[in-house]
Amino acid sequence: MFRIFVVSKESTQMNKDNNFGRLLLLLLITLGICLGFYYLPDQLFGMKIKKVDLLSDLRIKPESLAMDSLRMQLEQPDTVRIDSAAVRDSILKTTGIDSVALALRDSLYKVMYADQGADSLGTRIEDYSVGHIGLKRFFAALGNSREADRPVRVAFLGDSFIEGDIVVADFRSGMQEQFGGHGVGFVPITSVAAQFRPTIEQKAEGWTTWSMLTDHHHRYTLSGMTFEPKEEKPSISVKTTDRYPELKTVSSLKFLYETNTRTRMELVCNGTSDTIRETLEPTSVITQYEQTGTFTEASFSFADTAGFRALGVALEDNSGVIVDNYSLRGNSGMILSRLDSARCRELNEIRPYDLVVLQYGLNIVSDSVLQYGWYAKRMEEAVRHVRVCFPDADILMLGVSDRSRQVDGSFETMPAVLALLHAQRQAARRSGVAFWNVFGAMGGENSMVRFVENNWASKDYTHLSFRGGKEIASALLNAILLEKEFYDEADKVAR
Amino acid sequence: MTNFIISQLANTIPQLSIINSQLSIDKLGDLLVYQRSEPMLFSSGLFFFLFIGFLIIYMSLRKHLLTRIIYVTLFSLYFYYKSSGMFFLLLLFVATSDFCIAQCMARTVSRWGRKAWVVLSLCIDLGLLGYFKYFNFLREIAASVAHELGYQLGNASLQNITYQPLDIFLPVGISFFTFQTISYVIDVYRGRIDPLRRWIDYVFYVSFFPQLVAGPIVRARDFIPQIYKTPAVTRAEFGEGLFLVLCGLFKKTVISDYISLNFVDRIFDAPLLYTGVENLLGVYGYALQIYCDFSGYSDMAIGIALLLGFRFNVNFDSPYQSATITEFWRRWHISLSSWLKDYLYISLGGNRKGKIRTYINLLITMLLGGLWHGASVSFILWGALHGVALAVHKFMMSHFSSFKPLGSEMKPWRRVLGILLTFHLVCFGWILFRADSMQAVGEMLTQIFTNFHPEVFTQFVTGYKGVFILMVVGYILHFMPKSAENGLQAVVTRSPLLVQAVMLAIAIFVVVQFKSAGVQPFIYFQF
Repeated sequence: MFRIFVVSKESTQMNKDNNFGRLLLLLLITLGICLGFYYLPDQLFGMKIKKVDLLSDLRIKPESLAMDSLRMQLEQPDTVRIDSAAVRDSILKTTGIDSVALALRDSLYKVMYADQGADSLGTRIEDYSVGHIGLKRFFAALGNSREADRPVRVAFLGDSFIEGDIVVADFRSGMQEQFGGHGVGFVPITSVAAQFRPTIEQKAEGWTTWSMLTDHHHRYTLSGMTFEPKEEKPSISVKTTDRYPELKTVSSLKFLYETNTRTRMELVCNGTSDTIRETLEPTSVITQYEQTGTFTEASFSFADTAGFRALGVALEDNSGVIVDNYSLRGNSGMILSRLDSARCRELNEIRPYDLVVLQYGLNIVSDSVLQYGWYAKRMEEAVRHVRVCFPDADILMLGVSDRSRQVDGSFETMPAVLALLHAQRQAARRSGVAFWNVFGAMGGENSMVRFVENNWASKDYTHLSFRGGKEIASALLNAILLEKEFYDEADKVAR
Repeated sequence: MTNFIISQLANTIPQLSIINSQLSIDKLGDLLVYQRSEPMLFSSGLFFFLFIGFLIIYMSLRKHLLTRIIYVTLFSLYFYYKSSGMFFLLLLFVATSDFCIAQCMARTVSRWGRKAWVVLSLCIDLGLLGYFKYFNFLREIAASVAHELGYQLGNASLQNITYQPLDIFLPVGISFFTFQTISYVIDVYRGRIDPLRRWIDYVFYVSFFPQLVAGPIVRARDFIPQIYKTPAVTRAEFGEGLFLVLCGLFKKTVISDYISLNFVDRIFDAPLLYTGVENLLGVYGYALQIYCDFSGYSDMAIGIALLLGFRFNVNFDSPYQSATITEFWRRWHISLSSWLKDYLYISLGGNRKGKIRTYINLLITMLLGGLWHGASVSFILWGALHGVALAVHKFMMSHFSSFKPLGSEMKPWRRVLGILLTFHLVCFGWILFRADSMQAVGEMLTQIFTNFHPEVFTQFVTGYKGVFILMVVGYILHFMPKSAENGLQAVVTRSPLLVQAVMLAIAIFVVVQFKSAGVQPFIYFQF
């Protein structure tokens, strides 16, 4: 059909007059019909239809009114009533910091930054804990990191937004540059994004993946996945990459499993011909097998695997900062309240976390929904549960990133993003945890359009590219370092 | 309390919005001046209104030659200003310089003198094209060569050279109008056409708005005689023009824009996130997308010109129906391939200087043809692939009589085989053409050949229903025989005015639906 040059025989029979008048008439009738389209109902035969509006370029966009009210909502002062006195009492009981000291910290922060609560630019961490102690344990661990006998551990939880180590890789690299440490940290046996991940080369064969998203029988911990041998000899091999200087070599190689009866393991490190043969100890709690030395590669293979269930490997130093990427595609964060607390404590025993970052929201935001109070409630539950599971870790909640929708062929921020951001901030407020505004750090409204133009984000106007992740990571790092300045200052005052 | 009111407000806003939407005069002002991010497209609402206004005066000037030429030229310049701002002065400059050079050449008798004029014209035209399109690319290459040299020689100052791109705006359509004006100067040099006497006539040719932004490349000798005729459009031409505009709208704004946004771009952005079968479909999708995008816009240009009384040559002739790579280049972007043949390949000596030189000329032509598409190594590689393929096919044809240039000369089984092979060779070329880096090319091929997962196909069909349907429809229409297409065109031509208007209105309705279609979210397949 897409052929072009056709002179039909009929042309001789048709009049050789000019048809400009006909053309003008054609356009005017079409114009009339199109103006008529404007009055079509929003639905036709059960299908939603978009308004045909030839004058749309001249019209003041109606959405902007809805956006206005959402913007106002974001700027509202604290809408959550918190019984501060009761909270202070409970903090006093758990941490031993008295309420006077807490009040002092709050006022010190006000003096230093003249500002508290929502930050529309994402330059600051918004701390909703009473007494501004939301990241106290994390910063204390960072301060002691040179002397401590274990690394400072960060668990970066999220969805496909951080898949393949987008954002996290640059955040990790920045932290390790500042506070020391090497290695990519925990790597699940396999994942849908394994090949896409540039911070580790991995290959796994012979495993069945169980995922928390689809399965309710197994007991899950942070990665939300567990792996069972499918074949006689399952295997996994990993190799470091030099994408970041901190990843090239590591001094500790670990293998994490959660149940075992008599599995025999063969391990080849750094491609040498020496094979380490071990029989893994029988267990029903999360256990790690560790080798120390200098590592760039490792290949594990297993036999006699009845009753064996594995989690993954870890490539890291036992000092500095280690950031584990726990991304799970399609996760909205709400299922975190289903984490198995006993399993999590076992994990915390061998990998004690100082900070848990929660990056969620993109799997909830929907163009047709502007109310996310129910989600905020579910996330409060999730945060409460994470606290029970990891009692020594601080929690940093990230707000949703910008996401666009298409209107008349151009892209603009989904109003729902603003509504969700508001709900997430309320959840952080009610839970009394630290919060960071990713949307603001990206540049606020319509920043996704700029990200896509710069090739910093994918054409679905939702996910970042590695380059875009680098921007967010550096903004997050700056916000954390800025916040650390306050803690350092407050410590001086306390002394 | 306030919070409650606001959330209630947010819920009622959609109903209020219709009443509240109002037209804004300020916006009209903004709309009519140059906006860098919004070039004027034939598929925009603004063009629809401007064209109606343009047509009314154009009709009344039908019999006034000079006034009509001036009027159309001014409108074209405005059209160009809307897309490229003050760079319309560049367009005027190029047209004026080549007009003067052709004049001077006509007065020069000696062969060397005439040659010198051509060289001057080429220096100006290619110099401008080179600056705007290739200067950053050349600097990048120079910087990396200097860097490498510094490394080899241990020279620290050379090693420290880093490349920073300059902010050079690429004037819209510069590749097209420089090629048009080069064709004029060379044709005058070769004595194929007489130089124009009136400056405004030449500016009219170079700036004529239908083909200004994205081709086709119209030759002076085809176009200029049409300027002086009183414009006329027969009923058949009217039907053909309308049919082309309808096809073009459908191809460009429905098929191409939708599948690129909702599927193809994602695959090329991160091939490793997708299985082999999705990557392969992404490549097939891109083959359809680039064809529909390019030829769709060409169709609209040719159709609009035809409705104004100007006949352009066919630019795309169902290229994926080609059974050989030689045939492909006779059907794909014909105005460019024939330009390259007439002004580059033949200028290099064509096939008159022995077999080896013929192959070399073919390769050089295709390399430069690749580079014409954009300043990057991947376009050169793409050109090289096609150059080598053409040379190999030429070699086979001269040594084995069973190898034919066209599918229509082949036995049916051989033709089908040829179409499949040619299509996949072209698709391989498209991977080079589109992928962001050689690494991405490698990743796509690895996924296709080692990580295919055919079982994902059914999930793709259900998950990406819209994309899949459009791709199937696009390819079916593409492979339809010519008679079916002629039949459709005849239906459009014979329809009464009101039916034709309804057709156009429905097309606009469909375009709007697709332009505001929600972006299809990522779909994760289980395998």
